Amino acid sequence: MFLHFPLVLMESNAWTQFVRFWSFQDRAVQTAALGVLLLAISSGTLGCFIVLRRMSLLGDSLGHAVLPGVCIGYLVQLRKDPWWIVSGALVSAFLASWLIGFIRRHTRLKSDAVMGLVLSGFYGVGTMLLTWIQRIPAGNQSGLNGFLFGQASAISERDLYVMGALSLVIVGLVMALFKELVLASFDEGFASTIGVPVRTLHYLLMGLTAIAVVIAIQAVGLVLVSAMLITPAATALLATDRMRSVVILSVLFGVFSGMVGLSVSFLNSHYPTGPFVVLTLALVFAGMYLFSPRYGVASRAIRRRRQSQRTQRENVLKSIYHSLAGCANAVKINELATLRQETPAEIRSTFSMLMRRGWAQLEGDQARLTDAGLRRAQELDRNYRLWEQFLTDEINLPIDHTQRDAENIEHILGPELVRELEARFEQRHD
Amino acid sequence: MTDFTQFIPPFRLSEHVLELWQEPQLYDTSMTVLMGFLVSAVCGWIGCYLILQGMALLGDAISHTVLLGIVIVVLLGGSFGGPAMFCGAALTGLATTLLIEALHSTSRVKEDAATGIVFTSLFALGVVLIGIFAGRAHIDTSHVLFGNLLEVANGQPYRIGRWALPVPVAQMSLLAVLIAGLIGAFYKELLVVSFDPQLAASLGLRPRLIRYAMMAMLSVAVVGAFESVGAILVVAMLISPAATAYLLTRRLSMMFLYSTIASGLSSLFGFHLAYWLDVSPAGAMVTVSCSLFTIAFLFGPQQGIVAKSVRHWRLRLRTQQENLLRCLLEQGAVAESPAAQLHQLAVSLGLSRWSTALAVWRLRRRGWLLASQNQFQQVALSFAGRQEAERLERAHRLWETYLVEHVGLAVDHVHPTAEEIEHLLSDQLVEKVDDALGHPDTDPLGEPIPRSSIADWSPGVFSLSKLRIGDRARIVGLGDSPVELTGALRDSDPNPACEVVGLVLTLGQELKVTARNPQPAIWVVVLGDGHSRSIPHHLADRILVQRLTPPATDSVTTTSPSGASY
Repeated sequence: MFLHFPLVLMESNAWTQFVRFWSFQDRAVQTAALGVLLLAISSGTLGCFIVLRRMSLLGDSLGHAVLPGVCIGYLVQLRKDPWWIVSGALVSAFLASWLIGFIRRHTRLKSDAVMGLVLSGFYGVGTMLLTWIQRIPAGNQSGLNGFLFGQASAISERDLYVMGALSLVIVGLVMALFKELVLASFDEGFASTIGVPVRTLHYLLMGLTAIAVVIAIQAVGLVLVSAMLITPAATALLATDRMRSVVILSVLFGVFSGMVGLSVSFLNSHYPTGPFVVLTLALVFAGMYLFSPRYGVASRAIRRRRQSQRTQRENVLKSIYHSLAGCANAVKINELATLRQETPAEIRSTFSMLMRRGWAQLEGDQARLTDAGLRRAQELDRNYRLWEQFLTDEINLPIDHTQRDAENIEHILGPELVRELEARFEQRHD
Repeated sequence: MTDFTQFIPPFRLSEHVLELWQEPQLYDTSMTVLMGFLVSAVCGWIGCYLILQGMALLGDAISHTVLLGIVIVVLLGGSFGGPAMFCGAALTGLATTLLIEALHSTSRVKEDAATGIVFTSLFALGVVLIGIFAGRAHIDTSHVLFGNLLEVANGQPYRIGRWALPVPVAQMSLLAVLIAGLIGAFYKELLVVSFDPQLAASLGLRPRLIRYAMMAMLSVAVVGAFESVGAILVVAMLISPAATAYLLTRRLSMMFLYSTIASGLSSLFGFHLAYWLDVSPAGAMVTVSCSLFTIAFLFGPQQGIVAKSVRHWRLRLRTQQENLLRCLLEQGAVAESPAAQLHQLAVSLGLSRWSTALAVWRLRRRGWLLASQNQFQQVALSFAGRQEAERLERAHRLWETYLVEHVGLAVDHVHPTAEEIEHLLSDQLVEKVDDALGHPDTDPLGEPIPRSSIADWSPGVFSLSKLRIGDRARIVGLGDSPVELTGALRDSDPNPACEVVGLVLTLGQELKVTARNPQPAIWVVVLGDGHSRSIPHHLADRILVQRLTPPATDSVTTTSPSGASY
């Protein structure tokens, strides 16, 4: 069934295929989408722990290591029987993860070198087997190449059962051991002192990674399978701090990217699924890296800029307030510039922000505060003095050392803190 | 279940090996093997650096992302293997390194995850570009995966005089010479950076600069390797020969040499394996290369697990034997005494009868045991065996004393530790411990400590501090003679002597130890003229004496707690 399915799609144009995909009417589309869904759920769930425990290379290693198992699984029946292929892949992945541990224990090699070694060794043997299969009769049409970069359209309904069962194992175990896994991932020492079997959990995670990899190879391919484990989880970790939300978001990112990647790869039968899914994941990650509300690079830069603008604005406001404190009811821009040691142009641009807020007015080149501006300036002045009082009374700083600190803090003292400081000093005066 | 062994062609030496090295095929064979060797060797050299620096993951990442550089250069119209491609690849490699660094230094993404994300994304982009522009780029995905080593020899040859080299081989040779030259020129810097980055930084060597240079070289090497082995198998060439070499030596220069040898072997055997089975030569090369690693891992002389388990097994055997010796000593099964039963020994040692019999057999061969003829049912210590057993007992009891007096452990806690360490202590260390403790006679439990079998000077010559109560001895030397010992008499008197707390010692004088004070260690001796004097520890160490009690009867040991026989 899956062999001629892409041919049907190729005859129509890109848009109709796109609509056809997203309507999920086609049975083949349903199968592929369901497969990707299962994959996204299992890898997304597990990936969070992989990333937290810095085992990222493990997914890559086991992904490549699956190849000889897949080939041997194929050779047993000389066709793509899901049970045999999955068993072969699982045996291969388990063997690789055991070997990684074994070589690490018995040599001075660092763990990344060991993983790279096992990865390349298994992949080399797998390459030999794969090219050998393509040479034998009937092997040419094996479709095993689809396992390298993924061909979601080749997922059959029997594959889905296998994938479903394996996903159930992963999700079930992670849910059941959620508390222990979180504890062991964040504070291994503490976890082991309260009796969490940390080592067993580590090996369990390795085994589950092997299973997740096996689920994923059909849809995204073994070369890029590590991205399915790492990227959604890393993206989710940029978005939130609560572990439950991290897992849920990671699954959501995985599902979204999987669907988008799948729909694009359906446009042309030559397009492998894996790279498109991974590329979508990368875009989602880049977006979150820049614009995550809390940890995004761009968001943080914007926050910093806003804060510095605010400080600038309020400093000018205070300067005007202090100039007015004498007797004049307006001050010249140029005078302000001299006072603040800035150019008149700079003062003007900051002043325009004050005007937009309705805190000041400009008449000719005379700056004047509005009532609201006056209130804010007084508030700032009061903040400044409260903090100065606090520093000299409670921290015992000499009075000539408090100015800089108080000037920084006056902009960010919230009403609650101000009340607390007031209460503190009132108590003292009583 | 299909019998897929039917698809394995029979191996024929002449067809699959010998004929390939004869005239019509010689050129193709040698060029292919040479190319495989060059690719693997160059990658292996860089791999040595990667492994020592713990940067294997970065190597993996760059070997993947270089694909993107290659695809972009090809799409922009650059030729395959041209200078533009090498520059593009070097830039991609550097960009990968910088991108990964930027990612994990500006966000909470950890380095390993950052590496994983960057390389999978860039690699995916490369594959997608190949997919979309399949018609225009002369690379397809199978190329990316397996390379094509066999086509190397088919290309247009590049002629230098009589020599004809296919262009990729010529390029790769040039690259190999270049990289080898650079590594040779900066060998010392590389050495310092690899093993001691802090020292390198303090010497002003800039480890970061060297790292970027290595990454650029790596990218260039990957481009050279790309056509023949593909982007993914390059990882194997980077890690496998270097890891093999790492298991065999601890010296950087040897590591380079061994990884080169491993590359040569894997190229040669891999080629023939691929030819025989008609499979991807790159895959076969990697398989051979990893088999070499397995061999080094199993049979390496220093760190191989076979060698390690042999060492472990030997130590176990020795421990069992030594325990048996001490057990016999405790039971008093010495030459003249009634012999011990083998099966009782096995029970008291907690060993199987076979292990006990093996230990007895090996000890008997060394002449330490006397055994009855009927399958060693009854055994006893020989004279040499008893000496050995006493040596062990001495180490054991001295260590117990040391743990109690210097480490402050409780008396009932020291036995297990001493039981383990007695097999490992060298004679010199035992004597040091003995000296530090003031040459005690008994351990904290009151058990006698056997006297040292070591003569300080020449056979039968000891320092006075090793004498026990009742020993008679003659002074034969006054050590390296500090001022207190020699005194004013040294220059005038031809017979060197010394004055110790009002007591004059001369060479040839006889003395007898009458009493010992353990803390501080003081020996009370009676001289031939009937004078009794005390000698402190540091002086007693320097006075050399010859014991007058014959050693044969002296070292008879019993376990009587009084220690009277000492």
